[in-house]
Amino acid sequence: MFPYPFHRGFPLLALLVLLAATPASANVSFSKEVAPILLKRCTGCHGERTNQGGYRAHTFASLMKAGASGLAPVVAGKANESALFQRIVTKVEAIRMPKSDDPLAPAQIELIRKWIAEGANYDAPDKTAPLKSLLGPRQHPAAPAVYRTAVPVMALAFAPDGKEIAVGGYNEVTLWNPTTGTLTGRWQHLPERIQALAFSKDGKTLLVGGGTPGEYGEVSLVNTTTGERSTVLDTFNDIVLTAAFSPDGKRIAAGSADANVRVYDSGTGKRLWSSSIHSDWVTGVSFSFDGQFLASSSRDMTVKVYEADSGNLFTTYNGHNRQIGRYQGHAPVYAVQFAPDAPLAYSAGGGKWIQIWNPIEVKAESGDAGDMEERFAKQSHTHYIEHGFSKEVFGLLVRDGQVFATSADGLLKQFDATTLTEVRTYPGHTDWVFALACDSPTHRLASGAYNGEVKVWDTKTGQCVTTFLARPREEKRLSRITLRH
Amino acid sequence: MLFSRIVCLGMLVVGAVPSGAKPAAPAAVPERVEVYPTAVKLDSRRAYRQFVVTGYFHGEPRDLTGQALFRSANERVVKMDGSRALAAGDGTASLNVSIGGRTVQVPVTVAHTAAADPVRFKFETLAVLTKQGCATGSCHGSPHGKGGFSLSLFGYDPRIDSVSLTRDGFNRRLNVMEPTDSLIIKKPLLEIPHVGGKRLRKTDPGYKVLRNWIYEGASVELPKTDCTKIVITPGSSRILHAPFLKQQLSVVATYSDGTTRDVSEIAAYESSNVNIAKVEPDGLITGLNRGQAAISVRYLDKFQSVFVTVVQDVPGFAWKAPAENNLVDRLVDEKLKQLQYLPSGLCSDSVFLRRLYFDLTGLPPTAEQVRTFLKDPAPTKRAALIDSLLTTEEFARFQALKKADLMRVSPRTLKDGRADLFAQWLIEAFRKNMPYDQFARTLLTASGDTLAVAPANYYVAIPTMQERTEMTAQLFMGTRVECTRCHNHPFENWTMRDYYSIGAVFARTNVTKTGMVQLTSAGEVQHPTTDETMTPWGSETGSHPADRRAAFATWLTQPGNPFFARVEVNRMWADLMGRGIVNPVDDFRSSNPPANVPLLDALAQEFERSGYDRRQLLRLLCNSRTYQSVTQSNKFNESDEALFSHARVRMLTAEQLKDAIGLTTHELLPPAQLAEQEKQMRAKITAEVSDPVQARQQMTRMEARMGYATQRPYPETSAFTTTFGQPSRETACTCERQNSPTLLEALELLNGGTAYRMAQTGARYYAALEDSKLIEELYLSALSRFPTAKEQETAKQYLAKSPNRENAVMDLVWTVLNTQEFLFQH
Repeated sequence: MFPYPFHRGFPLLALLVLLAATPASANVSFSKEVAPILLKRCTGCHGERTNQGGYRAHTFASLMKAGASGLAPVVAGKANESALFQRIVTKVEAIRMPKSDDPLAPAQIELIRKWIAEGANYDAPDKTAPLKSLLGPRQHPAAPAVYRTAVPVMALAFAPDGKEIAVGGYNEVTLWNPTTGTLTGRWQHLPERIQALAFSKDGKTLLVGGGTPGEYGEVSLVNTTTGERSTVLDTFNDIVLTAAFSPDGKRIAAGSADANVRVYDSGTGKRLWSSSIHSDWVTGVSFSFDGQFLASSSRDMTVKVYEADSGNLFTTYNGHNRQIGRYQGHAPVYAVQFAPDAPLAYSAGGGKWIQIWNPIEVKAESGDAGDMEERFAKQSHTHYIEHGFSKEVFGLLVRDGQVFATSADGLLKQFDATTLTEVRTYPGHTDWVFALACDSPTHRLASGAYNGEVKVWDTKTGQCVTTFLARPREEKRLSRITLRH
Repeated sequence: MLFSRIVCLGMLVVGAVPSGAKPAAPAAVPERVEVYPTAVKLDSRRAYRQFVVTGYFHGEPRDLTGQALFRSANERVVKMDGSRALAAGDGTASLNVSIGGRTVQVPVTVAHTAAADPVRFKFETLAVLTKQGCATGSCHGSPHGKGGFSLSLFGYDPRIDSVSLTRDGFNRRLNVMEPTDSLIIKKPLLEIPHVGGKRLRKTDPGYKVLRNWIYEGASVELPKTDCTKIVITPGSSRILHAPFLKQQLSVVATYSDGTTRDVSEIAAYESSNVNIAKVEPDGLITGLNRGQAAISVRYLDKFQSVFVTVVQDVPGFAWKAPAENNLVDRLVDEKLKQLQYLPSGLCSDSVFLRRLYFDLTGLPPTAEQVRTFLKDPAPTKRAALIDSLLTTEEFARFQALKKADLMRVSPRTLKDGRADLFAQWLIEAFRKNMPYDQFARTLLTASGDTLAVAPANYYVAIPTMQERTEMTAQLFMGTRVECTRCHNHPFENWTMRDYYSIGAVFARTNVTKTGMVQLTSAGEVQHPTTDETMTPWGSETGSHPADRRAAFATWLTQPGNPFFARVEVNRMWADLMGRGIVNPVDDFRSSNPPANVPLLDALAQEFERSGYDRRQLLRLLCNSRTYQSVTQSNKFNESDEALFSHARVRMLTAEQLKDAIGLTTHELLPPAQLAEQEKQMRAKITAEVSDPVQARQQMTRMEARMGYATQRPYPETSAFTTTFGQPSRETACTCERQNSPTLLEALELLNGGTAYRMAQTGARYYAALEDSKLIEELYLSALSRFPTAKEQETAKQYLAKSPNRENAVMDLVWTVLNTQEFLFQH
C-alpha cells in the first residue's frame, strides 16, 4: 500500500553485519563494533541527559554500572547472566530493549554476546570517555547514482582555474562546467551533507565541511587528483557548517553546529586550537587578510574574533544584538567575511544590514566593565549596508571592492564596498539562496539555492551565464574523473 | 458554533430480527445495534474509515466496537484493520458487521487507489506534529521554540511551520534522500538524544505520515482549502457504566472544498482528568474511576470534546435523600444518584442564618437578629428570611461590590469621582433589581459624559480594544480569550478570528480626553495575520448600523444565547455554593464541562424565563436543600468535590472578615445605625459643598470612614484586606481574589495590628457586661449561636481567675476571633 523503495539502508548497520560475519577468531572491538550499536539504539534513553531506569550507557564506565534494578548490566564472560544481554534478547515484549521499538538485529545481538563472552574488554584508554568520542571518522557510502530528488545546495566553490565549479551534493561533491552547466565529475564517499567547500590555492586539495545534523560533523580534505578523501582533519558532535583556508593557505578553520570553532595546520593536519565560547551554532569562519585574526559568526548573535595564532579571544562583536539606537535589533549572524585586502570584517544574518567593522576598533570600543555607560552613549565606528532583503542573509562574499550577498527571499545582490550602495540585483532564483562563490579572473559568480538550482553569473554584465539543477540524473560512473590542470 | 452538538449522522438502526447465529446469553443481546458509518466511501489508496458500533441495552447505549466482528466480502476492495476499514483496490464490496447475533451489512465503494495521494502538509503533517506533542506550548510550540527549533502552537500558522521544518536551520531537520535519517524522525524516535523524550514509535500512524511526506519531497504547498469542521462519533456525551468502560471515537473532517476524510488516526486526543478516563492515541476511551471527564479532540484548529461519565457501582449504596425543596435539588439528586453519591442533610438554623447573611449581605447577623430568628417557630422562617434579606440595602451593596471587583471600579482608573458614580449605579441596579439583560445592555451601549452617564465608565476602565474584548468575553461569555489575541486557543475552539470579531464591536467607540464616550462613524479591526477587516461579532442578529455594540448586546441578551444566562447563573451559584457548576466560573469551554449539565441548563432557562431576575434566581438557589445542607459529608459522599452533595466550608473574604470582626467587637456600628449616620453626613456634604466633583470626593472619604468593607463598591485596601486576598481590580477574572488560607493570614490574625486593635475595642464593650451575658453576646455576635454549657463554663472560669478583667475579656474575644468557626462560612 505504501510503495517505499529505500535503496540504501543504514551504511553503519550494513558494515556491522559484514563485520559480524567475519571469522569468529577475530575479537570483537568494543570501540569499533559495540559502541556504535549502543549509540544508535540505547543512549537516546540511557544517555548523558536522560537516564531511564537509573541507567546510562554513554560511557564504558556508566555502561558497566548497575541502574535502579541493581542488576549487573555486564558480567564478563557470561552473556546470559548479564542484565543488558537478557533485556535485549527476552521474548517478553514489555521489558525488551530497546523499549517500544524494533529489537536489535540478530547480527548485532551476536556481536554483543560475543563481546561479553570474550571478557567484555575495553579497547580504549579512558573508561569515562563518551562513546561518541571512540568512533573516529565515519566511512561514508557512495552517493546515490541518480538523485530521486534535488538536494539543497549549501556549498559552492570555483576551482582555481575557473573551469569547474564544485557543488555540495549528497555524500559527494559534484563538479560542473560553469559555462555549460554539465556534470563533469563526482567525488564520493564524503559526508552526507556538505556545508562548506574551499579549494587550496594550488587546486590540489578541496576542503570539505559537513556531516549529519544532530550527530556528526567532519572537516576533511579531498585529493583533487584522485577524488578521494585523503585526510580527515577532525570530527564534531554536530554538523560542520563552515570551513575556510587562511589567505596564505597554511591554516584551516572550521565551525560546527556543536558551537565549536577549531583551527588546523593545513600541512600536517594537526589541530592548533579549539574554542567553544559560542553558545549556539557556528555559522561562518573567516581569516583576516594578514592572517592575524580569525572571526566566527554564530546564531548566538555574536561574532567572535580570535588571535589566529593562539586562539585567544581578541574581541566580541555585538552589533547584531543591540538594545538601543538606530541599528537596534536581535538577530542571529549567519555569515562573516574579512575583506581580502583590508582589516575589515563584514557580517550579516537576520536584520536589515550588512555590518562592516574593524576588530581593533571594536575592542577599543568595548572597553571594560567600568565604562559601561560611556559605551552605550558612544557612536560605534561600524558601517552599515542597508541590504533591502526581506529575509535573512546567508551567503556573503567580499571581492574586488564589491560585496555580494544572498538571502532567503531568493535574491542575490551586489553592493559597492566604498559607497555602501547597491550596484545590482541578480534575479531569477525562486527559493532560499544559501551558497555563494566567485572566480575573480573570469568575473564569474555562482549561487546555489534550496531547490538544488545553481546559477552562474557574469559580474561585469550582470547576466546569468547558465542555470543548472545540481542533481545527477543519469547513471554515470564519474567518481574518478579528475580536474585537468 | 461553540455549543453546537455533534449530530451523529447516518446511524443505521437495525430491527430486532436476529440473524441466523446462535442466540447468545440474554444479557449480551442488545435490543438494537447501530453501526457507524452506514456506508463507506474510500476515495484514495490511503483512505480509511473508523467504525463505531453501539448496542442498546434497556435503552442505554454501550460501545461494542471492540467486540464486533468485521468481515469483508472482497478483500481486494476493502480490508479491515481492527475496526478500521482500509482501501485495497477500486470497486464496490460490502462489510458484514456482526455482534450479539445480529449482522449489519455496510456497502463500501473504493476508488482512485491507483492514483498517487501524496501526504498533505497542511492537513496531515501539521496534525501529526500536534498529535505527537511536538507543537505543544511546553515544547517546540512555545513562543521561542525549544532547542532552536520553533513551531507554531498546534500548527496554527502553517507558514511558520513550513519554514521551520524545511529551510530554516540550514536544511537541518529533513533528509529528502533518506527520510528516516531526518532529525524530525530520529529525535522523537530517540535514535539520537532528544530532550523532549520519546514522542514517536514506528508503529504510530504519524510515523508513516512524516516519513512519506519527506519521501515525497516535503512539499509545503499551502492550498486555500481549510478544514471547516470535524464530526465526532459518538456525539457530545457518553455514560460508561462499569464493567463496560470502553468507547471508541471516530473523527471525520470536512474541508472547504466539500471533501471529507476520516482523521481518527491523526487527530489528537486528551482527557481532562486522567484519573477518571484515559484515551489512547487511536481514540479509544477507557473509563478508570467514577466521575466525569471531557475527552477533547483536536484536529488542526478544530477542537471539540466528548463528555464521559464513568459510573461504577459502590458497594452498599442505596439511594435515599432528604426531601427535595425545589428544582435545584431534583437535578442535583439526579446526578448524585447516577454517580452513586448520597446527599448530606439540612443544616441547623444558626448555621443557615450565618451562611445566608454572609452570602447575601456580606455581614454576619447581629446577636439580636440571631436571637429573633432562632426563637421564631414558623416553619417558613428560612424562606421569609431569604425574601427579606434580598431587599436589604446591604444586599444591594455587597452584590455591587462583587460586580465592581470584575469591572475594575477603582479611583486609580476612574478618576475625578467616576469610580463613585459608576459604583453608585451598580448599587442602584441591585437595589432596583434591574433585569440582568437590561444591565448588560445599558453597560455595553452607554455613551456620553462619563461624569454624568455612570455606566459609560465601563469603557473608561478598559480603554483598549484588547481590554474591551477580553473583559466583555470574560464577564458576559465566561470565556478567557486572551490566548487568541496572538494564536488560536490552545484548549478550545476559539480562534483569532473570534477575538478580533469581538474586538470589531468596539472599534467605533472612543473615549475622549475629557472623558466622553463617543461613537465614531469609522474604525475597523484588522486580523493581525491576514489583514482581513473583521465583521463585528453579533452583527447578524440585529440591524443597528449606528452602534455595533447594540447589535452585540442584542445577540448577547437574546434568550437562548449559549453564554449569557449560563455564565451569570453559574456565577451566582458559585457565590452561594463555593464552587461553580462550571469551575472556574469564567472558564467556559468544551474541555471544561459543567459538573451537571441539566442543572446548569435548567437554571439558565429559569433565569431567562424570569426576565433575567437575579433576585428570583438567588431566591431559588437559597431555598434549595442543596444550599441549606450541612458541610459535613457522609460515607457515601466524602469523595465528592464537585457535585454538590454537601455544602462547602468557605473562608470568609477579606471584606467579610474585616466587617465580621468589626461587628463582633463593636468597632463598627450596626448597619441600621450606619445608614442613618451616612444619610445625615451626605445631606451635610450636599449642603456645604457646591462643586460636584469635590462633593463626590468628600462622600468617598466619608464612606471610607464608615468602615464597612463589604458595603462599599471599592473598599479601601489595607495590609489586612490584601493579606486576606482582596483583589487589586486589574482584570475581569474572579481568580484575582485569593481565597485559599495562607500563613500570612494566620499571622495577621494572631499578631496583626487590626485584629489587636479591634479585640481591644471589643474588650471595652464586653467587659461592661455581666459574665454569662458577656459570653452569650460574644458567641451570638461572632458565631451566630448560643455558647454550649461547656463553653460558658470554661470562659467563666477563665474570667474569674484573671486578675485584670479587661485583659481577660480581650483574651476571650481574641480567642473567639481566631477560631476556625469564626473565620469560615460553614
